[in-house]
Parts: sequence; structure tokens; C-alpha cells
Amino acid sequence: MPKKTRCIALSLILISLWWVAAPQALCAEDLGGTAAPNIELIVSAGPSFARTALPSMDPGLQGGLGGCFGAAIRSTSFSASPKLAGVGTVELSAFSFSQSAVTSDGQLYRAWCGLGVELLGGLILGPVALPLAGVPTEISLQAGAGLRASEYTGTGLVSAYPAVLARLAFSFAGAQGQTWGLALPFEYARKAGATVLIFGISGIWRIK
Amino acid sequence: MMAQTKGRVVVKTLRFVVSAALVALAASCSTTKISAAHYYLCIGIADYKYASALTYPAEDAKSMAELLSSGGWEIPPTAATVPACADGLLLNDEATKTGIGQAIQTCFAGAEADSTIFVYFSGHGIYDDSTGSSCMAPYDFNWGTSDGISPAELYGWFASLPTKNIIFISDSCFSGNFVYCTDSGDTIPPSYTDASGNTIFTLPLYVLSNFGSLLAKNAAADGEPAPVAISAAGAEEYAYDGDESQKHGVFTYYLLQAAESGDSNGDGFVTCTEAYTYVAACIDTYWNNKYSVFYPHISGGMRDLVLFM
Repeated sequence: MPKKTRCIALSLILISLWWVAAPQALCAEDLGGTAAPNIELIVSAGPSFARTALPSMDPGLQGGLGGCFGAAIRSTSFSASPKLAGVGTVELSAFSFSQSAVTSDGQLYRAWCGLGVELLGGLILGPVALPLAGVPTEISLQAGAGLRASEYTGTGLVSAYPAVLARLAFSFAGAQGQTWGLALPFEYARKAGATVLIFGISGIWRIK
Repeated sequence: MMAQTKGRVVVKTLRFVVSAALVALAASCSTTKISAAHYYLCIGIADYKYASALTYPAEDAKSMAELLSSGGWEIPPTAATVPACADGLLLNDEATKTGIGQAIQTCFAGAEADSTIFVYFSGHGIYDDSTGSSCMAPYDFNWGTSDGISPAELYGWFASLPTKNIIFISDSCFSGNFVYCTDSGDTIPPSYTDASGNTIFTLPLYVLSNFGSLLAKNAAADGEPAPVAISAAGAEEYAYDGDESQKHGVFTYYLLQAAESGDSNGDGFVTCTEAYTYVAACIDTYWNNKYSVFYPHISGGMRDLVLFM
């Protein structure tokens, strides 16, 4: 699919999501959002998959775990609606992926692990009434970039590479400013000539 | 009521995350049967024409060939055309520079494109202080500048082979120069000391001080498959013959053990990286505490190959 078509398709999907979610946001129960900027601490962790592909090899799936710790600042000052906030996040992350399964000719992708720093920005919508969640839910969509330092597990070989990140998160308000939720992180990187797509499911805990 | 609902949501969320973790674990543990052919050539030189003799290299090569043969590896398809290595072995006076070059280029000429080739070398390695370069010493090495086999020559021979799945392991002094890390940095220095271990601080410190060059290396990497190379020692280090109880080179002694004990994830295969990790840990734990220190190296890249099946 041409790049231009992909961009148009993605834009249409995002506009559709906004068109569907916004009316629900306006009639959902208010959980106490504030117009003043506030800072939250964020901790998240969960399983991830890396789909790794070298030009000369079939793609391989590498199971792993990832987690991050960071801070987010959110503000509704730019928005007419208190249900819509802008958010910026800075995080430190850690990740580890096992080796892929061995192919029939005896090749595989190496296990790797590492650390990263990332900056994300985006929007938080909500709380909205999502049909399946059962409780008022905040939806956030963030995108950004990060720098990674990784090591092939068990060796002394290290590399560094940039990554493009996106994260869709659903969170549910808890007691005393805490928020629990679920995030679907996505990452794209070029690592040692391989295309690496990482997707996962993380549990998120936030506190104001 | 609201609190109960929220509690259920949290529990459901946690269940979902745990289930996904189990799926991830299962996906990473799946195994495959290897159907492609695997060919080996083991070179061991204990008795040299001009250089001093070593104790165990010929035994190293024989034991390695025996282990590989019992594990599904085969003699190269056109080995019979080079009588000296018809059994997949080149020992002592058979392993001249011409003989080694001919064996690698001719014996593997009939290998299939998806097959894996393994070349093992045990013998002298020579280091040139003035240039920082090193070479493998064949049987007829006589200290001349072109008597040895340089990394460029060896990799040139490898480039002519019909498959890109190539493993090269060298149990020789200064063999670290045969290990290329074009897309990554090696935190293990060419001359290892007890203080330069791979600690929790190694990665961040090394990366912080070399971040620009690591990014540049990553950007330049094209992902083309390169041989997976493992060296017994760094580019500025000696490798050692083992003691009476080992009866092999120290590195090879633990490499042979790795076939049995190196499968760290229990998937039934010992990959080059697993073997390397096992051998390096054994040398550091059992040898470096008592004798002269050295540390193996392995080449970079996302790709790995199965060594012991």
C-alpha cells in the first residue's frame, strides 16, 4: 500500500475513533478531572512480543517482558472540554526478549534485553462509558520516540538504536488518585539491520 | 457497589495480563525439527613444521568431529575430492595453508544453500604488535608475513561458499581478531582482566561512553548474514592448553561440555550464543581464578545458528 494511502487510512481511523468516542465522553460520569496541569507517576509492566525480520531470514517471534517507570504531565488548558486533556510522558524502560524458535535450517534470532528512555505525547479522552469495561474509562493515545540500549543476552555485545513508539491505554480510576489500567504498547525499530515490531499488553498503575 | 465493580475490572485486567504472559512464554518455547544439512570441518595442529609444538589441538579436533558426527553433523558433501579431509578432519601436516584453503573452498562446494557449515580450528594464533593484526598459523607457518591465514583471507574463502550459514570457532591465541562486531560494540576488551567482567554497570557505562558510535554502527548495518564466529581469546590474549585432567585446550574442553550442559532454555538445541555463554562462564569461574586470564568473544548480529542438535 502506498505511503500516502496509509497516511490517509490512518487519519480516517483516528477521526472515526474520535467521532465515536467523543459523544460518549460528554455524557459519561465525571470522575473529577481538573483543568490545572497535574503530574502523575506511572508504572507499567507486561508481556511483549517482538516480530523480528532480517532481509535474509523468515520473520521470528520473540516472547518477552517489558516495563517502564516514568512521569506524565497532563493539562486541559488547551481544550474547551474538561474530558479532553493533553499529556506528555517521559519514561525509563526495561525489556527482555527470549530467542525465537529455531527454523528448519537451524537459524534463529538471538535473545536480547536492554534499557531505554522515551518521550511520548498525546491525548487523554474521558472518562467515557465503554460498553465492555463496565466502569467509566479514560482512553489515552500517545506517540513518540525513544532511544534504546540493548545487549544480546549472555554476551558482551551491545547496541543502540532509536525507536518509534505508540501506546493506546484504557484506565479506570481507583481510590486516592490512583488509576489502574491496560495499555497496548507498539514499537518500531531498525536494530542491526532487522526490522523489529514490538507489541504487547501492559498493566498500568498511575498515581497523581 | 462501584468499588466492587472496579475491583472486578482490576482482577480481570490482571488475569488478562497473566494469560498474555503465558501465551508469550509458550510462543517462545516452541521447537522445530531441523531438516537442512549440517557439514563440518575440524582442523587441529599440534605438531608444527617450524613453530613450537602444542599439546592438545589434534585431540581437540578429533573430539569435536566425533561429537558433531554423533549429533547429526555430516562430512562435507565433496570432501572425497580432497583426500586429506575425506573424514572431515585436517590434522597436523595435512593442515598447511594451501590445504586449509583448498579444504574450505572445495569440500563445501557442493553444500546446499540452506545448509550450515562449521569450521573449527585449534592451533597456534600469531599476533603482530606493530599492526595489531593476527592470523591463524597453519602447519607450514614460518613467521613470514604471508605464511599465516588472516581474517580477510578466511572470510574471503567463506564468501565463496554456497551457503551463508557459517559457524567458525577458533581455539587459538589472539583469535579475537577473527570475530567481527560490525553492528554492535563488544564490552569485553581485547585483553580481559578480572575487573572487566560483564556486570550490571557494564551496559549503561559502555553505552553512555560510546552512544554515538553505536548508533552509527546500527544505522550502517544492512542485516546481511555474516558468519557466526567464536574465539577462545581476545585479540590481545593467549588461549591455553588445559591440564592433565582436561586433555584438551581449555576453551575446547568446556565447548565439548556445552553440547550436554549448554542448553540454557531447554529447547533441545544448543545455539552458538548458548555455547558461548556456557564456555565463557566456565572459563571465568574455573580457570581465570587460578591461572592466566582470558575470555572468549562472539560476533554480533541478530542472527544465531544452532551448534549442537
